[in-house]
Amino acid sequence: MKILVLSLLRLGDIIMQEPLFAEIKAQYPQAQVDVLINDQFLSVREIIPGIDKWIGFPRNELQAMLAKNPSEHLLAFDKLQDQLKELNQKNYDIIFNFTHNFLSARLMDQLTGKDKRGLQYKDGIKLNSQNQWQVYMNESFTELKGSRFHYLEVLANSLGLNVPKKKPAFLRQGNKILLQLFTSDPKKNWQLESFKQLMKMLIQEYPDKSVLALCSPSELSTARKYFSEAQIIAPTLSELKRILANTDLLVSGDTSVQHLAAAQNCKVLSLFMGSADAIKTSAWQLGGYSIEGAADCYPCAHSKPCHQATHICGRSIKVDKVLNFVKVLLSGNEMEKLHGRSEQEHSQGLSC
Amino acid sequence: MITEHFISPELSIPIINEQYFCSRRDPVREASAWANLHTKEIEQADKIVVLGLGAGFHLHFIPRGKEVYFVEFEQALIERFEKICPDSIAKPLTSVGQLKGARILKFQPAIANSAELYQAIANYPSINIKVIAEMLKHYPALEEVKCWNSLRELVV
Repeated sequence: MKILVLSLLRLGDIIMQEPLFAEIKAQYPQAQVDVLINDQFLSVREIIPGIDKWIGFPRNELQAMLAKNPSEHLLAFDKLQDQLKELNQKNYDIIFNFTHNFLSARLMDQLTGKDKRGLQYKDGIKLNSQNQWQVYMNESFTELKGSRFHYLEVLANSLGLNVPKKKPAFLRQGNKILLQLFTSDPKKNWQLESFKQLMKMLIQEYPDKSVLALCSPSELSTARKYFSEAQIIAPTLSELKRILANTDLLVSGDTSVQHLAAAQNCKVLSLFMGSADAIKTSAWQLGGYSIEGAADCYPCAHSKPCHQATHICGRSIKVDKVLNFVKVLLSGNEMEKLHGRSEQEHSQGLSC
Repeated sequence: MITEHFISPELSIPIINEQYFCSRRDPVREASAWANLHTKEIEQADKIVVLGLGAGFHLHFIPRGKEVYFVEFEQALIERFEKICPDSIAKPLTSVGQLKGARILKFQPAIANSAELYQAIANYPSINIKVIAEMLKHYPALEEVKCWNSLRELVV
C-alpha cells in the first residue's frame, strides 16, 4: 500500500503533525508513507523519523515564476504539471490532505488516489464534507474563532485517523534550561528584556544548570544585543533535536520548537501571545504547560500585525510568574501546585 | 439571464442583462464586414482564435478547413451557440496550447465590456495566470484547468 500526505503549511505545522505521521504508520504498518511539503522545509527529514520519502513542492519557485513576466507562467504550469504527473505515476492508494487551504484542495483534485481524505475539490468544485470534524475545522481554524479542541484532534478525526496519544514530559535531572527567544511573527514574541531578566533569575536560582538563550542562526545578531556569545546557542534543526533530548525544560513562544521538544519528551513551558492559540496549537504533551497573554484582543488574527500601541498580551506575562512556573515544573510537583490556577494559566496536562 | 431579441421571425440575437453583443439592426452584415476586414489574415492562417463570440455570425464567415477556436466569458452565449450551431467548425477554447501559433482576431462588438481582459489574451504568449484562469473558467473539470487553478491559488 502507498500513502501520500499533503502537508503544505509551515515548518511548525509539519513538526506538530509528527504524531499524526506516526499514527498513519501505526494504522498502516505495511504502507509506504510519502509526504509532500514545501521544499524550503525539506530539512525536517532530519528530525522526523518514519517517513519513506519527503517530496518537495516548489512553492517559492512557482510563486517567483508567477510574479515575473507573464510568459514565465507557462513554465510554471509545465513545472507543476510535471510534478503532479510524477506523483500520479506512483499510484497512491490513500491521499491525506493535512493542509487546510485552497491550494492543497486544488492539488487534491489533480492527484489520483483510490481514497482521498480531507479538504478537496472534485472536478473544480469544492466538496462539502459530511465529516463533522472537517466542518468544525472549517469553522474554527480558518477564521478567528476559538476551538474546544487541539488542531491534532480535529485533523485526526476529520481524516479518520486515531487521535495520537500525548507524549509525556520527563522530569530530567540534567543541567540545561533553554529559553527560546523568537517566533516567526513579532506579535508572538515575548520581550527580549523579559527573557534577559528571566535568565538572570534562573541563573541565581539554579547555579548548577546551564541557562541558554536559543535562536536560529539568522536571529543571532538580534540575540547578541541582549545576551553574551556564551549565553546563546543557534543550532541547526537536527542539532536542536539532540539538544532537546537532554534538556530539562524549554521556555518558548515558538510552536515549532515546542513541538520538537515535546517529541523528545522535554518539558515545555509555552508562552502564548499574539495570534498563537494555546488550545489549538500547543505542544502535544502530557505535563507541559502554557501561559497565555491576557488581553481582550488575544488571540488575534494571523495575517495582521498587532494593532495596539504596546504589545499588551506580551507584557501581561510577567517574568516572576514565568519563573514560578519554571520552578514548579522543575520540581516535578506541577500536578499539585498548578492545579486550580486561573484559566489564563492553562495546563495542557490537566485540562485535556 | 439570456433572452432573444428577434430582428425578423428567422433571425434573433442574444441579450444578457440588457446588453447586446452584436449589431441590433444587421448582425449578418456586421459579421460579413468583420470577415472582409480580416480576409488576408484568415486566408493565411491555419489556426485562428477569435476573441468574442456574441451571436456567432462572424464565425460562419471563416472557411472550413481551418482550426478555429473562440474565447467567450459569458457561458450562456457559448451554450446558445453550441445549441444553434452544433456543426460549427469553431469550438470554444479549452487549452492555453490552442493559442500557440494561432492568428488571434478580435470581434469588437462582443468584447467591449471586457476589452482589457481580451486584450490580455491577445498578448499571448505574454499572458498571466489570472487571465488564463478567467479564460478557462467554464471548464473547471479539465485536467489542464485544474492545474491553472492550482497555480492561481499561489498568486495573492
